[in-house]
Amino acid sequence: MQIKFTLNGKEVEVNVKPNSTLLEVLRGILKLTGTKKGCARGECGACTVLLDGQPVCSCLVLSPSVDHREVVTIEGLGTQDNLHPLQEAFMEYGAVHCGFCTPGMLLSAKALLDEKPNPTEEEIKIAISGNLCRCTGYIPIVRAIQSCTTENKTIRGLDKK
Amino acid sequence: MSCRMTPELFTLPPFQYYSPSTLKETLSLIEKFGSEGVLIAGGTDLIPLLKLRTVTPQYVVDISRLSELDFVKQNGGLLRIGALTKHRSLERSPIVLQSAPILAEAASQIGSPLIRNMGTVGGNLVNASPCSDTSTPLLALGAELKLNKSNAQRTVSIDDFFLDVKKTIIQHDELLTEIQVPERSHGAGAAFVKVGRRTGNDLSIVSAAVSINIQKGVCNSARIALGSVAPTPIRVKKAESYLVGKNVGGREVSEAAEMASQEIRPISDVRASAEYRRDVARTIVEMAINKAIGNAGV
Repeated sequence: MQIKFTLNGKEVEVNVKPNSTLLEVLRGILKLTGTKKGCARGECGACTVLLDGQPVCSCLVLSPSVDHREVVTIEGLGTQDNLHPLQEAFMEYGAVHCGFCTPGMLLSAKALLDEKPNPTEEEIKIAISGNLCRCTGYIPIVRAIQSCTTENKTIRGLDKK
Repeated sequence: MSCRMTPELFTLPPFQYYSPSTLKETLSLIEKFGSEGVLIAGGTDLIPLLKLRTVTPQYVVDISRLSELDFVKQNGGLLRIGALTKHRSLERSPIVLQSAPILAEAASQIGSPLIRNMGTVGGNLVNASPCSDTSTPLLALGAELKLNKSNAQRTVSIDDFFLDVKKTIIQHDELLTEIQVPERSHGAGAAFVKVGRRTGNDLSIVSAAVSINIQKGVCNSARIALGSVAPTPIRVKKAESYLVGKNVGGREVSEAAEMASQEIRPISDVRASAEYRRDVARTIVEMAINKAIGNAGV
């Protein structure tokens, strides 16, 4: 069946099988491999995308249900020449090790800051609680996100501790 | 849950897909499909089951766009929640936070934000896992559930809803449309406690929800519900009756908690042993009763 949706700001039309997930469509048909396949059952968050602005597990989204909606993947967050402040912060704070959780972490973080520009540390931890990381121990990720709150943007780059 | 997720199990089995735009259309489809059809709302429970081939329906009826079932309203004192209300909405709803705060609290501890952004309260109830986090608050609050079919509807008490593991009284041609929570009475207090292996993104090892009514230091009603300690979410009625009529100032609360821990039938599984569950149940029932007493009349 045909589905039409907004992907990273652009209208796309794709022919999909109803028994397919958004994750399969993004990686397999649209060749956007920034979104990762981890557990395939909604427990690891590696497949996180924004659906109508909210972070969800694309491995749990039936592709027909995306018709007429808005999807943002990691490819839509920034470009190599124009990185999103969160992407810059992740690099500065050592929040990227193997990189597998990173797309999901960035999108969960972006959604949080869009809703709450000045979250507490606890709110940040809750926001990324669906994104598992096996490498960093989470602290660099939390610090990177903290550095992007409205309050901290002014001192970012001056104090990396 | 089986961990044998071989590569072919990352895909969905074949099915025919329907996306009705009205409740009426939905009801006539599920009447037609009977046991060959399943409903999908948020998909957070169903999709993994489909991938594991635990369910292999011929038809999947997508009700996620039925916005008419996504609401939180208050009619007089009655709290009415549409079955397609997401956990994310329950968590944040000013009405729920005011009138049934333990439901908001429980919803906020389901899975992760990624799950809460898609999962619905109706799905959580109908999936009927013994650990269902919306079930215990709704049992404690004495909720009623509205079930619709093509030309009839019925309202059942949540006390009668769960039959067995993943089994409810819902018929194949019925849809859960609404959850109704009676008005909070004067002197009522409630609390919810969930214990898991992690502080987030986990099923409960044990959970407890308590609603208690205190008048002049005396308990005049109590509802104590526990999750993950029996084939379904349950109320511990002996512990509840024990508290009624008693002055809740001394040892009564720990006695009730001890009774509750004896009333349950926990099993040992990957998350915890039966003994541990019994022990933790005793502790959190005491905590929840005390917390509920503290909230009473507030």
